[in-house]
Amino acid sequence: MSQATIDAETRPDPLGVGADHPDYLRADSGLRSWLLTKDHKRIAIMFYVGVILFLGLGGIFALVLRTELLTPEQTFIDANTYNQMFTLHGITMVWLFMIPAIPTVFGNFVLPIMLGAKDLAFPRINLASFYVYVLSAIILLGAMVAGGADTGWTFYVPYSTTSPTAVTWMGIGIFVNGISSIMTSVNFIVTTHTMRAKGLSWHRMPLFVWASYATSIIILFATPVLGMSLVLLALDHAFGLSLFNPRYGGDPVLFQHLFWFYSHPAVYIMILPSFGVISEVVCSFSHNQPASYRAIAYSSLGIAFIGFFTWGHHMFVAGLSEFDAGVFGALSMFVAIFSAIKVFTWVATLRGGSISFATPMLYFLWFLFLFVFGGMTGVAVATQSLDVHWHDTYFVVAHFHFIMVGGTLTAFLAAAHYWFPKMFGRLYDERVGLLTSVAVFIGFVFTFLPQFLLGNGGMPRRYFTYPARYQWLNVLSTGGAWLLGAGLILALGNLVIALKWGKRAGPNPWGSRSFEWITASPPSKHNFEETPEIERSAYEYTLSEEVARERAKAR
Amino acid sequence: MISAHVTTPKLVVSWIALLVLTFLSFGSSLLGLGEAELFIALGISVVKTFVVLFIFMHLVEQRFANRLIVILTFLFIVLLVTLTVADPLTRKTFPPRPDPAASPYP
Ligand code: HEM
Ligand SMILES: [Cu+2]
Repeated sequence: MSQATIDAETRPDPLGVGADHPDYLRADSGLRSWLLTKDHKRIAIMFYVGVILFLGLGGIFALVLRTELLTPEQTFIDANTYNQMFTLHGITMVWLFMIPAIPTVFGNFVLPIMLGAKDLAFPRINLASFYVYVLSAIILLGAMVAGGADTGWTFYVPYSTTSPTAVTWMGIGIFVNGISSIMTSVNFIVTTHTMRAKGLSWHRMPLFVWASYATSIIILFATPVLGMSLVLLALDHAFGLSLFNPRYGGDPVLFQHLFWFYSHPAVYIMILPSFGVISEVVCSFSHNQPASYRAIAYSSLGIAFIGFFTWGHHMFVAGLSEFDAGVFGALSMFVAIFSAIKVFTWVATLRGGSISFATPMLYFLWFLFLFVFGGMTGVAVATQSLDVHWHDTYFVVAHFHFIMVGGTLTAFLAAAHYWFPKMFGRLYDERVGLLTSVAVFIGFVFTFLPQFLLGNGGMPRRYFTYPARYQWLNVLSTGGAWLLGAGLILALGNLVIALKWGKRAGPNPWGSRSFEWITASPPSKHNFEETPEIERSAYEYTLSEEVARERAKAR
Repeated sequence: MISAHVTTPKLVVSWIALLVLTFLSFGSSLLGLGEAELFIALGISVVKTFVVLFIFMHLVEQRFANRLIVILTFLFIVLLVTLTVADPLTRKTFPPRPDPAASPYP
């Protein structure tokens, strides 16, 4: 049995800050108290339900895709349905799951507590952000029913301007979704600047806050460009504006510039929050301070910055000039430097720590392996001479799934297990947690590793049939996808069961020094009765737990 | 550190300035300047943007930090436009690739 659970059973510490008040789940009751709540924790739970539903929907689309690819010829859906499925899969996963997932669920829940605040700076905007997200989901689901889309999630012109599907409404739905992201990120930025507890200087903050802050900055700068590009596209699709049509002096490559000016930074919107989660997990479970706090904190800002200079690497074979391609290729390499700084710092943090092996820690190991693999292949595809061969093949599909699924989804699962005791006051079953984590990893590797080989062997993406010589790798990939799906459902089941039947968790079952763990599990409605006084950083593992509590005084 | 106040006379002056700039950009479109037209129109609209931001949206009254955000935002637009425009401008810099169809393998 893992160290962490033993800790949880033996530490005689049933209370935490605010334990004498009713916790946020029980403080008010009734549907109204949920739907109109301004409590960041309840809003986080509502987002949690939302993003899990859309992870499920996107997952169903993915399983349809993979099942179709089981055989070289048509298996059970036709070409048009296949085009619909990969487009809807991309749209659902990117905008309804991946981008909101970690910030709106775990960011919303723990960020104010980490800062010693009672709530975010603008609780009403936070609630509005949720409803705007729901509205965007309704628009997108409506568009899926009323025609769907078959353009791919990138909406490339010229096809998207003439596609008979509901491209305009998809654009509107994503536009509205962007408003929700912006609302949340403004909230995070203002909260981080203005609501930190007494004595909580920038360099004492948990690293998750730095990552959320950097993510919010990217969202704020990049999302309006996406909104603008999609409006132009929608105007073209609905009214024939022809901005990207060469016949009227337009340039189809311009759309790709605009789209990727948002969407490359958007990939960092998806990965940076998971860097934050991983930093918390690795410190908490190795009971050690980060090998270099500043390296992790500042490299988040570095990635946020440099991520804006690399968008052209998606356009190497789209007619981009050789000069621009060279510039973008070279700039892309810098991202890898910052990412490598993080990876090395996490690994170095393990050194000399006292490591306890719980489920989040296992997810950290998967993350490390998969993210490095995905990042290295990112550098490979950013090399122009290589990308000419790999572009639009399964190699690229494998690259970004290694990062988005192997990185972000893995970190999402790590967070779901790591903060579970804090959010719901219960412990999940550690053995089942470890087992499902292994299933997710094996399923993942079987799904996506063969896709590198397929792409390198020349199999293009976005086709529903393929030459028979590619079949055995596709069969591996499809089998892996089913295992991955099963692993995810079991992991979810494990957490849902623990909601009711899990053992009660103390305030700090993992022995972490981060500030969210000084509150009761689950926290009371206001987290703290008074602003806490902080006299240490979030990672002082040299202090005993009693002394550490003493130096983060709160009521 | 409040350095300036937006007063009614200032609002009126900037409003007139905006009108004059609008007529300027309309007028310049009648001169038939060809390529230069676009740059003139864009230049004028940038000036107008800053008038609106600093006077009508009261940015002159703000702390430097708040103004910095607007400047950064502007730099991001500059970034977007520069690297994007650099693409069509440099498309013919290198000699064209040999057409593989024209000279197949010997
Ligand atoms: C080390 C940093 C990275 C580099 C240098 C890099 C480079 C690239 C390049 C050059 C492509 C285009 C390949 C092609 O279309 O031929 C690409 C595609 C992609 N990358 Fe990355 N990448 C990096 C990290 C990431 C991260 C962190 C994510 C997501 C969290 C990501 C997500 C994607 C996606 C979604 C695509 C495919 C988009 C599409 O065409 O549908 N990448 N990457
Ligand atoms: Cu990119």
